[in-house]
Amino acid sequence: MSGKRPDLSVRIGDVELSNPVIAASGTFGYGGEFSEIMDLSQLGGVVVKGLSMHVERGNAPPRIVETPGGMLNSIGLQNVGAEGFLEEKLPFLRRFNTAVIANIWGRTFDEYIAVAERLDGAKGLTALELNISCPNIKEGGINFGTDPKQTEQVTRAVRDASSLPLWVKLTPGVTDIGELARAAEAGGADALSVINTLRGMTIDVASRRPTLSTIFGGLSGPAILPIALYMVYETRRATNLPILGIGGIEGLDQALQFFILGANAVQVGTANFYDPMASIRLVDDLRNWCETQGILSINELVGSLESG
Amino acid sequence: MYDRRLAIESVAHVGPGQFILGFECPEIAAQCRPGHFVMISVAESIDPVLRRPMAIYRVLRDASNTPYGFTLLIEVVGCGTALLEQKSIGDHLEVLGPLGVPFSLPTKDEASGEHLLVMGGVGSAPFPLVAEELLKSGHRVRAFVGARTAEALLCVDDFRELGVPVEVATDDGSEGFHGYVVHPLQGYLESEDPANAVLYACGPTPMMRAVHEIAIIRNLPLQVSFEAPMACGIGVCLSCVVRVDAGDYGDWRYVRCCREGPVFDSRRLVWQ
Ligand SMILES: Cc1cc2nc3c(=O)[nH]c(=O)nc-3n(C[C@H](O)[C@H](O)[C@H](O)COP(=O)(O)OP(=O)(O)OC[C@H]3O[C@@H](n4cnc5c(N)ncnc54)[C@H](O)[C@@H]3O)c2cc1C
Ligand SMILES: Cc1cc2nc3c(=O)[nH]c(=O)nc-3n(C[C@H](O)[C@H](O)[C@H](O)COP(=O)(O)O)c2cc1C
Ligand code: FES
Repeated sequence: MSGKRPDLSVRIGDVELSNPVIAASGTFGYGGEFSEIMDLSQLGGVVVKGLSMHVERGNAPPRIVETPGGMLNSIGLQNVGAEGFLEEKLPFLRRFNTAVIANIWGRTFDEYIAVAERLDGAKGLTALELNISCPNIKEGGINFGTDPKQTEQVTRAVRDASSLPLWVKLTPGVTDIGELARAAEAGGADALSVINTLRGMTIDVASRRPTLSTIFGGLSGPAILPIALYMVYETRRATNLPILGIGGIEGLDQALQFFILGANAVQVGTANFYDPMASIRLVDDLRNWCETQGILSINELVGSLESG
Repeated sequence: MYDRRLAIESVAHVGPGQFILGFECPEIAAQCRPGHFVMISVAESIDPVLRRPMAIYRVLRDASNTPYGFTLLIEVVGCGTALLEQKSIGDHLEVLGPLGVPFSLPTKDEASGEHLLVMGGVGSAPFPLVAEELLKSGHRVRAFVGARTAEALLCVDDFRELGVPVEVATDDGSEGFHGYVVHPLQGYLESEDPANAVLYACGPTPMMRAVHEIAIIRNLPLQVSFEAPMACGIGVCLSCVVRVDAGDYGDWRYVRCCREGPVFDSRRLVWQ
């Protein structure tokens, strides 16, 4: 074997990851189930299911519907709550040599701050990922993630409430994602996760009702890849912050496209459902690909987009 | 739990849109318990993208009684199952399993009354294995099998081969009792009044609810295998939740059908 194994490690701000493959929030639970079929230490990181201050029961079923090349979900952010996570889930995740990122959300500024404060200083937690795709109940339902002013404010509020590195997860449901990226940066984000799901719906023709109990849901999976790539492209033009590329990644080819566009790491989401070994295999495939290409560090690839 | 790419070793068409696929995989087969399921891919492409949950139908054993494979009994209901019907021997599928909580069955030494297996449609799939296991440990078994038509009845031959008495019901009256399968069950319970009977059910939700009501009235234990739309099958997506009782005040909470189920004590479930 050649002595020069490609270096897959990447830096996301102050966070060093052993490799750039991370499991996306809501598609990996809290890691326990996947640990039965893989060594979580092989992953660069795990983003846990979106946490709120209190236990959340979630939406009524049906919560998913399959769509061409993807799926819609309306899970309703069911989760064990910050306390439950710290007591029951984090101690398990600490056993692995992988970054643990807590995805957090709230319905008001105060709820965001409360969960961020509660998780601050937790042993074994690497970073926070701020899910700003929920409506701000207090402000009359305006999305934290679609109004630049609110994006900046909620980012700053959480920034001030926690000493952990802060990744802000952007929603693609906006006209100019660059503007939201700059707002998050101004609020103190250390990195940007791009993208969350897109809104969509389907109709059950027989009953003429929406298929999902909540009328609309979040679209994910291979179908959203080109949108996600474009959003990373625009985000990279707007900011120099590290980017975590997300959306429709099934394996090597899609991940490479994100890196070339300037993503510093990638998150695998829906593919975990239909191909549970997808993220682990991606780590191996990246390493082998770099080796055959004579690439010594994955960072050589990042932002290598040729234009014109 | 294993994730394996397996070749289809056998295909048998058993009824209208009903077929059996056979696989060889000693690791999965060795872990299969009655009521377990697997998640299987249906397309090589991304449409449809999700795998489908299927119950383990039979475990295949070699001459020395060592498990080496398993079969699935599938009925066409939509695009994914229609694609599966087109598969031939040698085609490959991704198979993840075995998954879920299986039926809780008594051991040899546990005394028990008669075990009554109540099934409708393709909900019959897990029950031959249940019967096999119960018979092996010396328990008495009786099957109540329902379907739309005589043609669509499933597993009746399996039960007969195992020596299990079978009562049949069809929606159109083309074989056995004309009507729902809960009626022959009800009739049997009324005429025989078997002491300490133990109930099991799988099939359409209204049918399972009807069996649940019988179980409550007669104070008999009932395990149901519940179906919910599933994306992952392993407990990470939270798409498959069902309501269970949480305390004495009519409170409830969601649990994952794929992980805390698919087999539940019917009294734990909130039947809406
Ligand atoms: C634990 C479990 C065991 C099962 N065992 C068997 C079996 O042994 N044999 C068999 O033929 N069928 C079984 N089913 C039902 C089978 O999974 C569905 O019929 C199948 O997924 C339908 O797919 P489709 O593409 O043909 O239908 P579509 O309606 O096109 O499916 C679209 C989506 O809905 C979901 N879905 C639709 N109907 C059901 C349903 N009844 N239950 C769960 N998900 C559904 C599918 O998973 C898919 O994601 C089982 C279901 C569960 C939950
Ligand atoms: C079932 C499901 C649940 C999700 N839950 C969350 C969540 O709790 N928080 C969050 O920020 N994103 C959540 N997401 C979004 C994913 O993390 C990811 O951003 C999105 O699915 C796009 O990536 P993909 O196409 O690879 O799935 C969820 C996605 C799915 C499919
Ligand atoms: S199917 Fe994903 S949690 Fe049950």
